[in-house]
Amino acid sequence: MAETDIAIAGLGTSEIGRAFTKSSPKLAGDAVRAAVADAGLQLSDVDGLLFSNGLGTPVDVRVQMELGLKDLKLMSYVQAFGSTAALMVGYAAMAVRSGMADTIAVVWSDDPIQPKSSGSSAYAAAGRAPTGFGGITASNGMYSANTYYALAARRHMERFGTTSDQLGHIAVAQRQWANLNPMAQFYDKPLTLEEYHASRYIAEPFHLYDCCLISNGAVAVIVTSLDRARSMPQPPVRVLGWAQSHPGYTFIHDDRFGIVTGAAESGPRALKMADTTLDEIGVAEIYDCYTFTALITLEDYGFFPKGEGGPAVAEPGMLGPGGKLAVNTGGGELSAFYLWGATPLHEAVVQARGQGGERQVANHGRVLVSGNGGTLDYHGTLVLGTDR
Amino acid sequence: MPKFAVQADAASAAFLEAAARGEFLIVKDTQTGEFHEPQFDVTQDPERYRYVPAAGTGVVVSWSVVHEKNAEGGVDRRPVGIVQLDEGPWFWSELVDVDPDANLMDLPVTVDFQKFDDGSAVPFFRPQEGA
Repeated sequence: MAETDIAIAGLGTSEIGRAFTKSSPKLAGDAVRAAVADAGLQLSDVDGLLFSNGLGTPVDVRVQMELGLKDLKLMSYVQAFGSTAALMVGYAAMAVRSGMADTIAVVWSDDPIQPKSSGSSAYAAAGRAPTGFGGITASNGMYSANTYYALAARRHMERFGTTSDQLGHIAVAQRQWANLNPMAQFYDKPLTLEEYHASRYIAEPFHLYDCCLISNGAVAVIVTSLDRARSMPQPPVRVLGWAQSHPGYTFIHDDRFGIVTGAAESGPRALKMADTTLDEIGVAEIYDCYTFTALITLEDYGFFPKGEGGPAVAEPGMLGPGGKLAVNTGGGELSAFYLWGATPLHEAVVQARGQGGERQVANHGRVLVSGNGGTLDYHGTLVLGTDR
Repeated sequence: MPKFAVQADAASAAFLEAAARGEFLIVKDTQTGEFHEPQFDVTQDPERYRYVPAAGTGVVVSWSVVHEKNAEGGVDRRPVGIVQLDEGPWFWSELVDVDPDANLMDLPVTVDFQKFDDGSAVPFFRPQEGA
């Protein structure tokens, strides 16, 4: 018997940005309701639920009650940090294919920004525990992912000669995409390379604009069979391939740290499952918590040879709207919104459907999606595609 | 310099007790002779994995300069890095008494300890003499 083909049939979001009015579980509920409506379904059609959250208010099994979902055949919390959204779509695809459930809502939600606090303080506080080895690292001045990733980036720079200017080209290109995306937090704020260089340092070599935004919000998708998706109102987005790779580098001696990530393993495996080559990928939605994360992931997927990503992204006409390589076409986590792996997943579905408006990429038949978590510790890849 | 005392938990108790007396511990696999980072869980096989004092020297294999807002409204530049110990493991540490504008790659460093009023200490690294 042929394997069931899988598709994403619904996409929904809550309010995104500095959304203070609702907690993370409520935002998750809003996103699921929106995704279900987008798919032309009722909540009673949902028989599976996978959920996760970031550093804010945890989303737990009570989200089922929040949504009034009855008699679910599948429900689980999934957590592998920034790779989670991609992983959940893969698990949902497997569950539909196995017959375990038919219509699975996958939702990721977070509310790190609270009234009267900055988002960055929410993230810094998470690493400032004065206990144990985490406390020792924090007492030594390293209490946020900004520094951990700066240390990774420096290794790439020293090994391959990658420069801040090259990273700046990624920031500028993604801002150009964001300027075409009304959902982007930086929709109406252009960025030049000069402004990138003039922005304050956070942790050298990272400037402010090497670092992602911080956002509250939730994104949900509905995963079902392709056959069922074809009867629903939205263009089905096929889930063609999925793979994971979790090297686990943090704090431990590993010469690959900052040099190669799990994308080098999960990318080729996901492409193989999708029977797709890199040449066929028209759009790449790459996890970009930092400019450097996008760069190293593009190398690891094979878009550029290892170590040559820096000069390549700085080539005129490579990135940005109209460029050779359509990367992070909504502005990404750097310039649209930062909902961990849900950010690249959201834009991938928009592009695969052909609903990108001014920023729509013509060649959107195959879309590559990455998720990256920890400090390059956890990785998931999805290959999505149009139906016919 | 490390800015605050750190409360020990089960995983860090031996390491922090040694730091308070000026010793920097790593973990040795007595079967293979291999060394592991101090965070390595010795309780999985206490006969096999033992804490041993490290030489306390190594080289910088990556660095960053953290920009921290200070009480005067300015910004302090605080060099930090990954130290590859002579025995092999990595340790993430502040780098004290280094030029934040210099290329710190491969800089030879040695451990030092910031002592706190409660008798505890937190290790950090500084350049080896003559480096």
